[in-house]
Amino acid sequence: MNYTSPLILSVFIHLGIGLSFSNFFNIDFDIFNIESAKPISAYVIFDKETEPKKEQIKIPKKTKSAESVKNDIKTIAISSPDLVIDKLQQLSSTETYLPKERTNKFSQSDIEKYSFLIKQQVFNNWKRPKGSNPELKTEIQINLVPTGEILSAKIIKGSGNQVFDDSALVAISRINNFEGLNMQTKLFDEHFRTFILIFSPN
Amino acid sequence: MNTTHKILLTMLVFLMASCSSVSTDRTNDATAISASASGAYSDNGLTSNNILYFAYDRSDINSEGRAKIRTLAKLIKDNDLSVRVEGHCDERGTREYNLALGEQRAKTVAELLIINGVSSNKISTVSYGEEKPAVSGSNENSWSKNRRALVKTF
Amino acid sequence: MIKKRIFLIILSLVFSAFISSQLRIEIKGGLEDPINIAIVPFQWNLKTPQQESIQKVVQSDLESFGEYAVLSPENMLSLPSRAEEVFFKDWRILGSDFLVIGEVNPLEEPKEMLVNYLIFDVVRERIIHRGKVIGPIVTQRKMAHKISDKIYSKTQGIPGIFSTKIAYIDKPSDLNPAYNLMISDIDGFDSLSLFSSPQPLMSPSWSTDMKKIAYVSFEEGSSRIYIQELATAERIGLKQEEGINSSPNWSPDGKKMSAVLSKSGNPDIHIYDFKQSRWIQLTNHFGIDTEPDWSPDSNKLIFTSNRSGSPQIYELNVKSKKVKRLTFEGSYNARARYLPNGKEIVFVHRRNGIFHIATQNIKTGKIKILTDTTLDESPTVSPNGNVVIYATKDGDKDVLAGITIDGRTKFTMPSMKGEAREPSWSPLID
Repeated sequence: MNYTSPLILSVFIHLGIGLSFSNFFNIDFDIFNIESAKPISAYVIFDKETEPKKEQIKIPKKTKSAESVKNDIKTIAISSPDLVIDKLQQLSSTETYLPKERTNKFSQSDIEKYSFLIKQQVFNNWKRPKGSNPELKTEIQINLVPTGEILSAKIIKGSGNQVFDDSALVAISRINNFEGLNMQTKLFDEHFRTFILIFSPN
Repeated sequence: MNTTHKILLTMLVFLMASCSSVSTDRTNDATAISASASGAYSDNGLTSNNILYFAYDRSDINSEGRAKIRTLAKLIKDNDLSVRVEGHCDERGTREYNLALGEQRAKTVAELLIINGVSSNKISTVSYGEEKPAVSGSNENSWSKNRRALVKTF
Repeated sequence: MIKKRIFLIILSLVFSAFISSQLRIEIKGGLEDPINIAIVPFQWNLKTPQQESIQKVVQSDLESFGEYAVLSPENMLSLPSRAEEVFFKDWRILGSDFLVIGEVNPLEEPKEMLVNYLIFDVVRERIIHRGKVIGPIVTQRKMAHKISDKIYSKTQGIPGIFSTKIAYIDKPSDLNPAYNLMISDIDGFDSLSLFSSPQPLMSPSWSTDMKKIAYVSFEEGSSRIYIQELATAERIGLKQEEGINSSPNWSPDGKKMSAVLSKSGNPDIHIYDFKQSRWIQLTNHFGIDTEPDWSPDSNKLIFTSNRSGSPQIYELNVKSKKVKRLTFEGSYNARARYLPNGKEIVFVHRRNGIFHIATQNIKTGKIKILTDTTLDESPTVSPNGNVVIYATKDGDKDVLAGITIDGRTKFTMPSMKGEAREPSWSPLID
């Protein structure tokens, strides 16, 4: 009898996980895709400004810090369509795992705005190797401090192609410091202190 | 082709008295099979009576060509000659596909010779595709002269 | 116990769910700008005077496909030849992404030399490769190509192709009234005639081990397929059949050769059985079937057929003999070659009467026209899949030209004497 409550919880969590996964496989990354914008002029400015004046950061190879793990637990899927949240609500009366309350605090557009800024800066500093297989994908976890400075960058899922992975790390090293991320502390803590950059050739 | 063949061929040309415009062709030095310096392959020793022309990407023969083949067939039979039919193409299109197209052209001519009474064991065919153009140059004037089948007698 | 386990499972699942809910930002594409690279002239420590600068050969290699912007030595702030002489800041200021330095030392002089070189990632301040090339002093170009290959693979993630060769047919000209089977480096240097004939030569094709070339010769009056050993110049004529004997092409596994014979009355695709010296017929259709090419896994062949009324590309499963039409756009699609990924093909595509080189994704059927000159034909793909060389016209002259598969960089093959056609790219060698 004692097993039932955790079992029910497990069922709900499984469903939740399933949904959250399906959610993120369905995320239309094109929302963030700056390809449509192609801000070539912006590239010139960023590239010239950021590069020479700053000392290059060293990217520690150590594993995720305790701090970042803590943040992992706090962060919540962004750009989750309301549909998913509704479904989650319908499925569970448990109030412990409901992202809606949190996401409502800052508008989706704020997250999109800063994601776009990050994306733009990464794009403009990333020279994709020529022979990249279109299926390659590198996921890099970034830790920032509120000034936008990159504390660490760690490959959490390599592409299997070292040159491709390196090109992504070079891009991050070149940026060193993300510009324009002046946002409220809560938004920063919950979404931008730790996030994942996914590099893929088109 | 050796000299006797050439002489025979020249005689053949003379036999075809109806043709009045052969003089320029005949005065060509009728020795070389090898390619000329310009890269163009001269259809040496042949008269327009031995050359059949084709439309682009086609291997069928028009009525004028059919008449030509009838005359040729008669000459071949009367003189008990053997013939070798060469198919050629213009430079447009891929080389190996043109080799196949040249073969179709040569075979069309061979079939018409057979229909006109030439024994099939007197005929051989070969395709050179676009490898031996009669005239160099990338224009319709040159191309039309290169889409051809040559009936060489010996 | 069970309770504890379930709890742990739940805990781990909850944890993973939260990790996956991190903010994820996807960057697609990236800049296609050339890579900025600095190649410092290599320190020359030999008594023999240097004939050709390795740095210059490497520079011209890397610049040939527009993928690199090579920093000119006169703009360099320092000229290091050893790691301890490198100050990354100098190279960062100049905008270099990568830096290559090296030195050439004697090794059994006067015969051999040793080139030590280093490739640096300037942005992350680290050595990404320590290389060493040994060879006779007279093979400096070859050694430089090897270094170019390594730089390419360490910065692009795919093999370099600067040590590969091109076979082609040199057509008769005023200078040379014969057909010549030629091979040369891809930069046009070191060209060599393998066979010469007053009658046409066609369709050179490399064996997978790069030791032999198959081709068609008309030396006996009609077409026949020959295989020539490169090292010994020894030639073998394959069994000649009545009609066309054309389009030899080795399978990538090196075991089979496809070709076209018309002994059955019309051209069909065949395979040569090397053990029994006989031909096995694969297609049997009254139309023209020709120009076969093997898929990278040697299981399929693409070929040109006019069975639908106009030449189109078809794919044949060698085992099941099943044939599938691949091209539907336009009335002339021919002489296709697989790209090394096996997912795309490059071929001759006619549009508005003009013959272009085009690529097509086999699955989606999407055609992309690469070249805009007229009479472009005989595309051949670099073994790394990045470049296509093809035959085209420069006025009335037959020349070879190339284009990167993304269509961005076009070039003409330099230093080709005479007139060249039917290029065939060698496999990669080590």
